[in-house]
Amino acid sequence: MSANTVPLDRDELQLATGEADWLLSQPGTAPVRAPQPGPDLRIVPEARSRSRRLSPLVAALTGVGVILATLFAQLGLSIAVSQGAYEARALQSELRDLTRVERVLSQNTDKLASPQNLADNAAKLGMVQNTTPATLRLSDGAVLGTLGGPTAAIASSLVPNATLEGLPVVDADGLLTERNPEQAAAAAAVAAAAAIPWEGPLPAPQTH
Amino acid sequence: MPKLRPLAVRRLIAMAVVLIGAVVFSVRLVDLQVVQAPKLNAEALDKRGVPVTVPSLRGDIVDRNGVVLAATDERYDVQLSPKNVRLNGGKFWPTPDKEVSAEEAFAQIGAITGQAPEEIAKIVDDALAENPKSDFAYVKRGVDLTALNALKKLLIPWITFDVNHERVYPNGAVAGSMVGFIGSEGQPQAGIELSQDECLVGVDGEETYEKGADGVRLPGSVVVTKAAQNGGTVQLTIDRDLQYEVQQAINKQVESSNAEWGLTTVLDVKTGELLAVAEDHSVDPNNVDGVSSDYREARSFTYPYEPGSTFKTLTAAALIDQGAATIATQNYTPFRWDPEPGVTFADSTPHADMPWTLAGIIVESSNVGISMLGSRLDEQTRYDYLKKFGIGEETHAGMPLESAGMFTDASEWDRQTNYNTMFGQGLSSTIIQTASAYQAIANGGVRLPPVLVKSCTAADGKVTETKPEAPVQVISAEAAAETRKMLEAMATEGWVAEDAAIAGYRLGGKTGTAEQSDGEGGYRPDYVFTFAGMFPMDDPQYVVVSTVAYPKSPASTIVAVRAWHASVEATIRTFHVPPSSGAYEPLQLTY
Repeated sequence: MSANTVPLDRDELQLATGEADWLLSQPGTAPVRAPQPGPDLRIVPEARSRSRRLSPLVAALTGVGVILATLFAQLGLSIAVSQGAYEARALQSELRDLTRVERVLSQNTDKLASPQNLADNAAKLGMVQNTTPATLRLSDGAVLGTLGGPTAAIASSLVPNATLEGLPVVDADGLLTERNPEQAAAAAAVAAAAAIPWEGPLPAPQTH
Repeated sequence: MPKLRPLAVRRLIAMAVVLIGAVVFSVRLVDLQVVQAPKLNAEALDKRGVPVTVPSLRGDIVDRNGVVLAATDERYDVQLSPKNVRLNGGKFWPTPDKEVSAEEAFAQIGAITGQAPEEIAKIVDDALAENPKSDFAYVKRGVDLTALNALKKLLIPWITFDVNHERVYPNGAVAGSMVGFIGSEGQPQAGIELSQDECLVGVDGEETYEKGADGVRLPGSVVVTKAAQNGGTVQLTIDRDLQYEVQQAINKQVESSNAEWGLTTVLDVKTGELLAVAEDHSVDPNNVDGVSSDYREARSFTYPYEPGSTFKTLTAAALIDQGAATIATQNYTPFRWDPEPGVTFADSTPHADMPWTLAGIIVESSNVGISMLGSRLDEQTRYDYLKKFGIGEETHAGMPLESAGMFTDASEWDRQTNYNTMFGQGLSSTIIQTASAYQAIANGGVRLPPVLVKSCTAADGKVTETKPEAPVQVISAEAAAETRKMLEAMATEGWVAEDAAIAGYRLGGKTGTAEQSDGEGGYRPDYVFTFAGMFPMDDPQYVVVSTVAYPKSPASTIVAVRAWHASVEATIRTFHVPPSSGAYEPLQLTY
């Protein structure tokens, strides 16, 4: 671009107009053209089409425009990406929260499915255990064992499970009741005995 | 040299300046991007980057059906910044039009964590007293998700949370002593947690990210330096439901008879897999402090005791295998016998001299009878048989701690011990070893060493099955079948038959009433009672052994038989064992 401007143009100008300068610099000389011995032919520098030449101003503006456009595009992209980062973070923390909830729920299921809990609930509902169930042999339809065999009451759980503490059980009326009524009653009695109401004026610390 | 025009000179100078500039910049560029790059990157990361450890999850322990016995749960630590509590005179604004003082916040937190407001105020005061710029103190460690969410809703700016992992055991004490437990700092302390730690433990990952002023990770700045690898899942051979019922049964018998301890083991005959290993009042790994240290171990593996008459079966099996006797071999059996000077022993109850066959001796559990016949084999032969039955050998079933029992070389036996070992005294075994010996008799004489750990499944799904130990042909299949006939006679015709019987099922077993060392060179006056058996006798699938130690009321084998009976019933229900085919053919017990 710069080739169009300062040094090259001046050189060309000098080459093209050298003669005229020289003539003008001779004071007192009539501006008479010296007789030419034959046609003085020179190669005319190829004329540049004026219309194809971009004005420096437009070129500069275009350049600045392109740069600005790039910058704005970059800015927009950057905003979009960081907006996406916020969204991704929100989604990630949602995923984390849901994973946590899922874990708590599955672990609740695990402990509710524990044999201690099932036995406690079955006993509260008044179910009994068929100690030796009869079986039906598919090949000949024979019933093995006795139908209406012996049943046993479900013993309360003798195998502790700390994860069930404080979880109620459902009784035959569909109501939630204490898992260990005796234990709960004993604990309540201890608590009641421990809470002795204070009598007399409240003690105040001695200060100096 | 042609004279240069001033213009060209200027051009050259300009060019030189540009070139020198370019060279200078290039050198600097290489210096920064190549030579100093690692150091500068590290420095920069230190300033902006946040390194994070990505904790791996410890694997689950599951039963043979995939029921979770041990899992990893998340708990949350509640932390506060003491210096920030005092900012703005202790006030903060969760919403623009609401002002909350520090005291109010303490009360709100305390209502969720169950602490008194003064407690939390004290935490802040103490931290600031120690260091006025203190930026960290725990309010409460290990709160659950409900508490975490409630605390987050308070929008208290000086509270932060951290996640840590905790072990939970949803089935409590079911198989608790085998599953084991881990310490507060996550180090395994007992049971499968300890022995299978290599499978269960994962590898923590590491990553760094760069964060902006508001704590948001800068996009694309997360660098995973090491991916976290979760631990594997250990599958046991135990059946959770059977294990519960068997534990219930042994607890019930120990409590009702006022015994000191009790054990029951259920073993799969065809695979050697332990289906249930129950001990009375075993530990709930959720609450290790709930029991004394004795109950924290899997006593089935660590408590050897003198087995007593259950080992007469093994002596009889050896006799039959050697061809030294058959189940019909006749022996005129007195109540007391003095085979050698200084050696004397008697049967448990006085009786006249009896014309018993070997089967009769087993059914009547005569010490004298089995010793008279057993003497047909020399002591080394009997020692070798017991060794092949697995006595005196650790089972390597998968527990970290195991006793091999006391079983000295035959050459070290004194004269009395020579006879005593024929009826299970003068040596000791764990209940697992006894069950394993009976498994050989149930399985055509082939002993499959007991297995507790089925497999380890890595986080990527790769399954490593436990390599079974080599089976041992202890006695011939015929000898095993003959021995089983005597066990069925004992359970069907013996004095415990009424308590053992289950309608429709053919059962076999042998009682044991064993004296135990009192630790002072003598024997205790009370007994350890055992019933070791198998069923269904038409094709034995399960070996069940129950032991109850020192019951007071009744002080009888019946207690062990009842525990055994309940465990067999539970096994029938759990595995839908169909009733037996064929019928018991009575043996000739006397002549």
